[in-house]
Amino acid sequence: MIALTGNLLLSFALLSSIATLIFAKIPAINAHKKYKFACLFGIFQFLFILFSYFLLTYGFVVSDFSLVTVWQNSEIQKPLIYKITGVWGNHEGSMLLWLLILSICLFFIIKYDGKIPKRVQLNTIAIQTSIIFAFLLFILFTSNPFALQLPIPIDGVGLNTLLQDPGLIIHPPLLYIGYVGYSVLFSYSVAIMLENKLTDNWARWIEKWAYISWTALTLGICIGSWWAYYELGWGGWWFWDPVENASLLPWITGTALIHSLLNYKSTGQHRDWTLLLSILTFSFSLIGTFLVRSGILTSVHSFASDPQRGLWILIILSFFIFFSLFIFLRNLQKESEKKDFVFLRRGTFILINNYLLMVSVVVIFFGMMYPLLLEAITGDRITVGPKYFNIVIAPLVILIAILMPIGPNLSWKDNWTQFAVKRLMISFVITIFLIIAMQLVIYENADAFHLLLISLAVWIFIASIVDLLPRNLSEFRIEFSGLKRKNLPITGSRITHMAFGIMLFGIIYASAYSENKDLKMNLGDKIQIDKFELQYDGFGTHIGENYDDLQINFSLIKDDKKIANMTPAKRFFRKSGDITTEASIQKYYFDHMYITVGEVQEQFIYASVSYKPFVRFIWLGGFLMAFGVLFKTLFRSKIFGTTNA
Amino acid sequence: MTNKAKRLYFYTTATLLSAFAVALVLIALDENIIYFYSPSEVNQSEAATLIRVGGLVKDGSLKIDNDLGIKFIIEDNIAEVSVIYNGILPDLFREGQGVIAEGKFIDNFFIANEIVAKHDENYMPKEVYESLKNK
Repeated sequence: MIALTGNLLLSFALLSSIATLIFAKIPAINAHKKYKFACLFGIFQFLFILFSYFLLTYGFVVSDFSLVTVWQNSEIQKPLIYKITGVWGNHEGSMLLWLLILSICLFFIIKYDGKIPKRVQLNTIAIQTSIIFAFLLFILFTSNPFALQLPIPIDGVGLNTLLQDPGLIIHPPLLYIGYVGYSVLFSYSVAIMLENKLTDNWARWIEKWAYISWTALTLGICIGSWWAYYELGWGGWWFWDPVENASLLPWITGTALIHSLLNYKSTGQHRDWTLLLSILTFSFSLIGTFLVRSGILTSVHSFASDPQRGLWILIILSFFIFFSLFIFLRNLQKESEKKDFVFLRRGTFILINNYLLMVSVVVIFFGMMYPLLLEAITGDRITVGPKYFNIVIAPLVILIAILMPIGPNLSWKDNWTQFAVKRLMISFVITIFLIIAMQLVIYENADAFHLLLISLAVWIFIASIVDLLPRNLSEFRIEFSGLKRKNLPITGSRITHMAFGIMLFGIIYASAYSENKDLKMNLGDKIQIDKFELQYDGFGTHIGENYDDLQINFSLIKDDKKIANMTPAKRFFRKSGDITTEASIQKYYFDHMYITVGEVQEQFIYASVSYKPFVRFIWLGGFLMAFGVLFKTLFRSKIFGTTNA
Repeated sequence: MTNKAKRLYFYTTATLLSAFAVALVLIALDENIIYFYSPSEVNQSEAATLIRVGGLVKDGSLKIDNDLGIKFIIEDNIAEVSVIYNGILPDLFREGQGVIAEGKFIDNFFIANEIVAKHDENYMPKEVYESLKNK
């Protein structure tokens, strides 16, 4: 029953999308009617997809094993929350979620009333619909979540045990909102180029989406990284895995896009580049999906893969990328470069920012694709080690970090001012002072390279705060200018920059000064790690909803006093017999003590123990970055186009 | 300085930096690629380079030794490689299943420093699947 209804709903959605495309494109009827019908069928698409999504969720909740997807990825005993979120814990369901978000975006495009010319609006709807259409075909023909099987099995296979974790509840939806949110930017940009009659405020229509998608993507990546950190039990937060890279690429181009949009809004320069960036960002979202779904790159994130699906997505991908690039090239305008080339102004720094970010994209993309390239040419099978990425990214991050605080201090139009110099000098002096103080208080045997990186992180942090101080110092007596209504968007930007400094600090500190010990411990053994002692006290059991834990007890001791119990575990899932490793993480200010346990024998255990100073800064910074941009979105400046080219 | 000269400087710098980036990529790539072999392809005399070996964990070969750590054999129906690993095995490590080990050959033993883990128990690493397919 569910299978039939589900297939019907998806087919209706497909028909509605065809109807929208027809109404958007036929010249016969009058413009007003065309628009009305296209919108109406757009809403229908959204509703049909929404209902089919609810129906699949219902199928999971009532454990309807006549659906292959439910049977393969669920079981009666599974906790309810994982039945609901388990919908996106598999290929078919996650593609339906992807489709749902696409159609929600379409809904918002239809509802958005930003004084957009009707023709542009209609084009946008048509392009968004064609993306939905392509993915509907993809789902119906290669990944149907409503595929039926008879006879109906009594119980399901169950959800992959590693996915039964709170991370599953929020990580995929946020990541997808990020990925798919960029489809709106894509649709608007292509629609604008198709029309080629630009009004000034297109930047304003798409700006909000650039912020929202970026916020969601940042949160998604952060939570994913946190999830891998505690659940996969490897104790790392970033592995340069192809799938991680695939999410980082749209994040980087999305960051470039936000800056380029600001530049366009304020100076009217680099219009084409900004449009190209929004196309690129969504293209990278598609490439990410393609890489994950096709399984052509070996990654920890692959669901069981199927080459046919990869081919489909490759076709969708190539079509949209080439189509949009074609439109882009057709409408490319020679930008007038008659204006004075003023070097030390904000726009130049945004250009440099974009340049450095794009170089990062190229080197990461190259490292990611190189194994495929080499295998195609020589047949050798290789992996590009994480060290490659660290080596090529480090100099870029250093350059970005040096320049990052400078740009925001400059004016959009004029050259370098006395004032900016003074401010940067203040930040510089404070930074040096802090670094020296830090070296005296928490002395680590820092080498010059890491000291430089840490100083840069502090420099970004300090300069962003200093930049929030009032421009005119006499203002300070009245109120902190960063909290004035008109300055709030700027405050948002500075929070994000500051947070990047915090994150960078955490990344560098935790990478350079972590201590790790993999060792065998007998009962009662004590080991020394950093300023702590850790004692192995034996093991016990704990009974969970659908699993049993074998808990290994440790005492964390500092200065001969026990400060915490730590209990990493081996988790045995009753039904599947799967075993997962549960890490135990103990906070200590901004640091983590991290333990996982391998083999547990009668007399001894294998444990991996790490002490990671300032590791919490990584996620703190990441979340704060997202918060800053969210803040900026909420208090977005309504003033537009101070100057225009 | 004229506008033209300023612009020229700007773009020259950008070009030089790009060239630098390309050089860095090539150097970093040269030093950090890790080759993958199946047990029958691997040449044990070619010691001391970091490589990956992938195949199936031989049934009954897993031994946890009190002193040496974890021992097991990776096979591909033609040849076998004895692996020694001192660390924590991934949750999905099983006898008879696909595995990839990263490490170096020392005295005919493959000393692994990493066992690559997979999310999905049914998932076969692509390299392993392809090297087994032909055997």
